Formats: sequence, C-alpha cells, structure tokens
Amino acid sequence: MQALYTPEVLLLLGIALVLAYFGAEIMTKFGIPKILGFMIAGLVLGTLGIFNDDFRTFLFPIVDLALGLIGYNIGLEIRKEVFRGQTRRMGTILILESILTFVIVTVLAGYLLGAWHIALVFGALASATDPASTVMVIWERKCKGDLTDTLMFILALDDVIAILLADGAIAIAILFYSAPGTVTIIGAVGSLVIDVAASSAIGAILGFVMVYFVNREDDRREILEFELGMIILIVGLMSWLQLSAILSCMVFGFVVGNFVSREKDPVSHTLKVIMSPIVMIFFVIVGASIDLGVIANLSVVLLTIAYVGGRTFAKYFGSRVGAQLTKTRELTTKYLGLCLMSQAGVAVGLSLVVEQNFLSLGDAEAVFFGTLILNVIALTTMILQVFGPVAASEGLRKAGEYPDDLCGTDEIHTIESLEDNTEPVDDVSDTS
Amino acid sequence: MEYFLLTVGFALVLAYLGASILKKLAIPQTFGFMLAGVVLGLTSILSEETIHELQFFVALALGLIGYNIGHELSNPNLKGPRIKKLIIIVIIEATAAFALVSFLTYFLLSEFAVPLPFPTAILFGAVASATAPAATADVVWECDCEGPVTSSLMFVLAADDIAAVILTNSAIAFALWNLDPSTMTLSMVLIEPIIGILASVVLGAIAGLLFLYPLKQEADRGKLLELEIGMVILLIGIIELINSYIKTLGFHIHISDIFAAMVFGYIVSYKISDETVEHQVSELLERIMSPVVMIFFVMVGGRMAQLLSTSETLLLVVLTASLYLIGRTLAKYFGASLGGHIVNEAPEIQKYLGGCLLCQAGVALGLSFIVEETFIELGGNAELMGMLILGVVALSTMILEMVGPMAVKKSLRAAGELPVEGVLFEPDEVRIFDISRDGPHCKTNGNQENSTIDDDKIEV
Repeated sequence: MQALYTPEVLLLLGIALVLAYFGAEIMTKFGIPKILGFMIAGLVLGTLGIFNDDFRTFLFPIVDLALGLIGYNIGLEIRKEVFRGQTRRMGTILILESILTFVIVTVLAGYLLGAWHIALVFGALASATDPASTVMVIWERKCKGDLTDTLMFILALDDVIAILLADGAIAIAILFYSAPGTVTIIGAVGSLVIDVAASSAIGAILGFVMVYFVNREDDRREILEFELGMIILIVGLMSWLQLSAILSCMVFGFVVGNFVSREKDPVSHTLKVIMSPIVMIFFVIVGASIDLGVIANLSVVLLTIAYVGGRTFAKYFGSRVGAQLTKTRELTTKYLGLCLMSQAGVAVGLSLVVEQNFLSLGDAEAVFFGTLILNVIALTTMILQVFGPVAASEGLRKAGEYPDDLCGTDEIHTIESLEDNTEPVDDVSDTS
Repeated sequence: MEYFLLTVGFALVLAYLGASILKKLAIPQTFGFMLAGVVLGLTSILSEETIHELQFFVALALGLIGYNIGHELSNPNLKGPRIKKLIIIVIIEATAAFALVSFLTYFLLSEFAVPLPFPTAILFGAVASATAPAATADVVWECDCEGPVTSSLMFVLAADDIAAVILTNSAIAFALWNLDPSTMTLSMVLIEPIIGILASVVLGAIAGLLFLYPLKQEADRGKLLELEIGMVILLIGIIELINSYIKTLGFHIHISDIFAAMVFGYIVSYKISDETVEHQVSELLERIMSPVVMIFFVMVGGRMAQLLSTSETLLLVVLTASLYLIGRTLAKYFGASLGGHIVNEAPEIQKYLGGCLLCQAGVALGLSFIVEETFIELGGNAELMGMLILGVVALSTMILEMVGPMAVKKSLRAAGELPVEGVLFEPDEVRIFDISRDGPHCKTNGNQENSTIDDDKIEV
C-alpha cells in the first residue's frame, strides 16, 4: 500500500470533484439523485484509465474515512424515539423483511454462481437500505403518519442488520479460503463475536467522550474539528485493530445522537458540508472501480438482474407479509415495501470492505469474487438509485402521507438528523 | 500508510484539546494546533515519513488559504483613490519589514558564520512581510468593529501577502543562484520569478473566468461549493504538474499555487455584487477548510519539533527568531505609520494600523514550508538553510499568534473602533450564518442559499 504522493494526486482529485459536480448537475435535471452522477463520473474516469488502480490504492484512506462518515450518519439517525412506538410490531416487519431479502438474494445468487459463500455476501449486502434518499423524500414533503413512522424505524435499523450479516458473511468466506486447519469454525465465530463486541465498545466509549465535550461546549460548530478528528481516529484505530470501522462509527453516532443533553444540537450540520466532498470522491472511486470488462458478461448481467429482482421482490413481500402478520394498518401494509428500494452508501461501502478483505486473502478466486461483488453492487446501486426514490415517493403518496400542500407548519422531531432539505423538492416533483 | 488515518485522527483530536485549553487563556486556536504538533513530533508519533505523506495537505491548505485571501481582497467599500493610498501603505510597510528583517538577520547570521548569510537573510525578510488575515478577521468579527482602520485593515492584510509571495519567489530564485551559480545566469534569476508570477496570474484568472460561467447559471451560490473546492484543488494540481514538468526541463520557474488561488478568489468575489452572500460563502469555505488547515498547522508544529530537537543550532534559531520578531514588529508598526503619513490618511490609520499587522500564520508558514521543501532536496548548506527558516518562522508564528490578536484588539480600542460593549458579544452571535438553524422548511429568502448547501449530496 506504499503509494507515494505525486503531483498528479491533487490534479486528479480536482478533476474528480469538478466532473462529479457536473455529472450530478445533469442527473438533477432528470430528477435522479446525484449519487448516480458521481458514479458515472467515476466510471468515465476509470474507463479512460485516468483513475487507475494505483491511484485508487492511494485514495484508500478517503474510502475508509467515507465509510466511517457513512456509519456515523446512520448512527445519528437511529433515535431513541423510534423505539418508543410499537417496537415489537415494527421489529417483526424489520426482521421478516431483511431476513427474507437475505435468503432470497442468497438463494438466487447461489444458484447462479454455484458458490454459496459468495452468495451469502450478496444476500447480506442486499438487506441494506439507503436511509438518506428516502428520508429526504419524507423531509421534503413533511410526510406524516403510520407508514412514515414504520419506515423511519426500518430504514434506521436494517442497515445495522446488514452490517452484522456482512460481517458474518465475510467471516464465512475467509473461513472458506483459509487453509484447512488454520481457522476453526469456533475460532471464526469467536473472532466474529469479538469483532462486533469490540467495535461497538470502542465506538460507545469514544461516543461518550464526545458527548462530554459536546455538552461542555456552547457552540456546536466550535467542535467540528474534534468531531471529525474523533471519526478519523476511530477509523484509523479500527483498521489498525482490524475491526469494523462502519459498525464502530455507527455506535459512536448513536451515542452522540442520543446522549447529548436536550438543549444542545446533537448533529453537526457543518460536518455534513465537509462530508460532501469526501462522499463525492467516495462515489467517484466506486464508479471508477467498475470494470466494463467484468460487467460485459452475460452471467454478470444475469446476476445483476437476479439481485435487483430478488431484492425488490423480497423487500416488497417481506415487509408486506410482516405487516399483515402484525395486523398493521392497510395502507402501511400495502405501500411499505415500495419505500425500501433505495440502495447506496452502506451496501456500496460494505462491498468495498468485502473487496479489500478478499484482495488481502490473495487467493485468485477470492480476488475474482471480490471484484465481482464490488462491480455488481456498484451496478445495482446505479439502477436502484434511479428507481428507489421514485418508488418511495410513489408509495408515500398512495398511502396518503404525502401532503400536496408544502406549507405545513408542524415540525418533525424524530428525524432531526437530516437537515435543510429545501431544495430537492424540485427534484422529486419532477420525477413523481 | 497503514496508520495514516490513525495518526491524522489522533492529531486532530489532540489539536482540538490543545486549542480548547488555550482558548480559556484567550490564545487563538492556531497556537494550540501547533503545540499539538510539537507534542506529536517530540513523541515521534508524527514521524518524518508521515509528514512527507501528508505533504499534499500543504499544497491543499495553501491553495485554500490563498483562495480565501483573494476573497478578502475585493472590498466593495473601498473606492479607487482610497485603494491607491492603501497600496502605497502596503508597499511601504511590506518593504520596511523585508528590509529591516533581512538587515538584522544578516548581521546575526554572519556573526554565527552561517554559510550563505545573505540569501538566507533575504528569505527571512521576504517571509516576514506576510500577515495573517484570518486571525485578525476573527477579532474584527467578534467585536463588531467599525471605522477607517477596520475597513482598510483587511485589504492591507491581504495585499501584503501578495507582496510576500512575490518577494519569497524571487528570494528563492536568488538563493538557488547563490547555492549553485553554474545552473543559472543572473538574468534568469531576475526573469524567472516574474514569469512564475505572471503564469500564476494567468492560470488563476482562467480558473476564475471559467468558474464565472456556472456562477451565472446557478442562482443558488451555496450549491456551487463543491465545485468551488474542486476548482481550487484542480488549479493547484495543474500548477503542481506544470511545475514538475518545468523542473524536468531544467528551469527554475516556480508557479506559485497560493498566488494563483488568490487571483482566482479575487475574480470570483469581485464578480459577486451581493456582499452578504459573499460573506456567507467565504465563512462556509473557511469552515470546510478548517480541518485541512488544522492538519497543516499540526504538521508545521511537528516538523518544527523535529528540526529543533535534532539540530544543534537551537540557540541560533532562538536568537534569529527574536531578531526576526523585533525587526518585523518595528517595521510593520512604523512602516504603516510612515505610509499613512505620506498618503495623508486619517490620523487613526497613521497611528493604529501598524498595531493590527502583527499576526502571522498560514501564508508565512506555507512559504517557509515551500522554502524548506525546495532546499532540503539539495542537501548540504541548502538543507541547513531550509531547516533554519522553517524553524524560525514556526517559532515566531507561535509567539505572534499569542501577541498578534491582543495587539489588534488594543489598537482597535485605542482607535475607538471597538464598541465598548463589544467584548460582551459572543463570537457565535455575530456569525449570522448558520447553515443549521433554519430547519427544513424555511423558505424565506434570507437563508435560501445556506439551507440548501448540503441537501442531497449527503445521501449515504
């Protein structure tokens, strides 16, 4: 990983940011989320050979950092308040929906690939849903009602399930590729448990340290650098200890989001401004990782179709069955599934973690599958980014929780973690 | 590379802790950042290797600092004749600092029999003419100052950085010529810095003009923030590429990235008529910059610690730093006063402007970093020169960061531009611009531009 600094680094970063910006601009015109624009910009740069593998290796710290920030953001979104409602009902739906997705995608991928340890990874990644773009729809339109509440709960928590499943799937895959005898099943399970426990513990401890400082400081913005520093520190610590950075940052975000004293603003909005160039670069890198040589292959196309189809089907019916079993209101039952289609940061980030893990295994087959997973997830994310938000706003509207009148006055308190989404109103109204 | 993020994270956390402790003593954060760097450097957590890997942060930080200074330069309140007067003041005080510091350090260096005292002294003088707008601007905003000194202050602060960049580039060329006269002719020494400066202006202007196009298209200024940062990074990247190419051709032309970024920033802010929007954007940019700049200061602190703990010339560094401080302070103070007299400015300016020019931070440090980088590659005497300059400038910056803001406050109070109740103002109250407060649905015109900055880019 010893990639040395060359003058081209800043040049390439600059090109990436500028191109990504214009890619996103074009996408916005079509009412498609910007992530797709970033990824296409990356795809162009990667295909032209401007973003080569060396450079991607050099940027790995940015990828790690972006993962940490993504985890942190999800953690912030999980509010204690979401557990207040009918937790058991929502929990049933959540578990049915995510497990069904996991199973169906695993079965489909396993059938196509014939490699079940890889299929498990696909299944795990498929259970992640992107909260950001869906929450944004809710925010823009100030949706309110039973569907919205259930949705918020599921969106916040199924990423946790996805992260845990992915951790397990990676452990199994590593077990599969390691020489027989070196890693026992008990050892693998043990290290998985330790991994999850230690990552959460470190995240929680640093979270409380952070809470102490937030409570002490009058102006939240003053501790911006500290906040960023803590996240970078966690990510660095985790890669040093070889634990899960995204999980740790999520726990960190959860603690910060929920234990800061009431009168303080728990979320640093400026951090999100700082995040945006990093996240932009992250998606550009993901786009650049797409290898057209890998994708232009019938079996990969089939796998992609199976993944998207299986995931869509499972999310839809899983949540529907779950809702029916728990006797949820009819409108929620009908339309909840539609709102769970988006896929973005978490799935993509986890697929990058998988790729890095597989590459470090060194096994030729593992390397091949690592690249395959990253490519398929990137491709499916691009597809789902187009349909996901449209489906979500459609679902909310059909459930009648999508007020046409934008000038409502109520505040939504449960979702303070996303802010100021005045603008994208236009994006959505274009598409819906 | 493996512990890259760990180191950076540790540095940021420690820097924040350092800064928050010092803030109680009313010492600016910059000092805390550098102190954290010193600690990390002495404990060798921040190794020389890590600092080398972080090098692109220096270029990045300088570009962003330069861009911000460019923004400060254009001030709609200043009209033509006034600007001319101020330019004369700047020329006089910058030249005075340059001459006096060069003169004083030359004597000391030749006394200590340091090789090549003259070019080294010139480099000290050149770096000494830079001032830091950021630390001073904080005081001005914090206290809600108003008056002739305040209105001209920002311009003077930004403009003498231009002088410092030009002087330093010329001084580097001169020093290189002194180190190895065979590679260059005297005429090249004279012409090459000029070419470098001209090229920076041209590149910065091109970037600025290109950016004006989306600026006109997009009504919402805040949405362009990523593009803006991208453009700055791109500009610096292009310049670095050109520079390394020129170097392979055997020329010593050094296109200054910080200067190009200044020109870029100036053009952008000049074309924006709306002052409040402008202020908001530059404040937001400053926020985004802050982690980068923070790491930069930590690096400088770490590098300084390494240099001082390994060098046997600690006494020399301390002595040079004190002479540098004395010369710079005197020259800035009396230079500004003399300039004010000559152009017949308001008496407050004659008396108190000089006291506001003592801060030194990013530009001076960045320039000395560039000097060190250029000279350390050459080895031998040049390496010593580079270390000496970075060590002295870093040390003096730490001291000036403590003294400078206090001097600004004192001078402004004496000039009667500091409201009596001003001290009561908390900094955050003046910072009207908060992208967070306006909730998701405020559609009032006032916060339209801020509230939309980070909408869907953060879908993660």
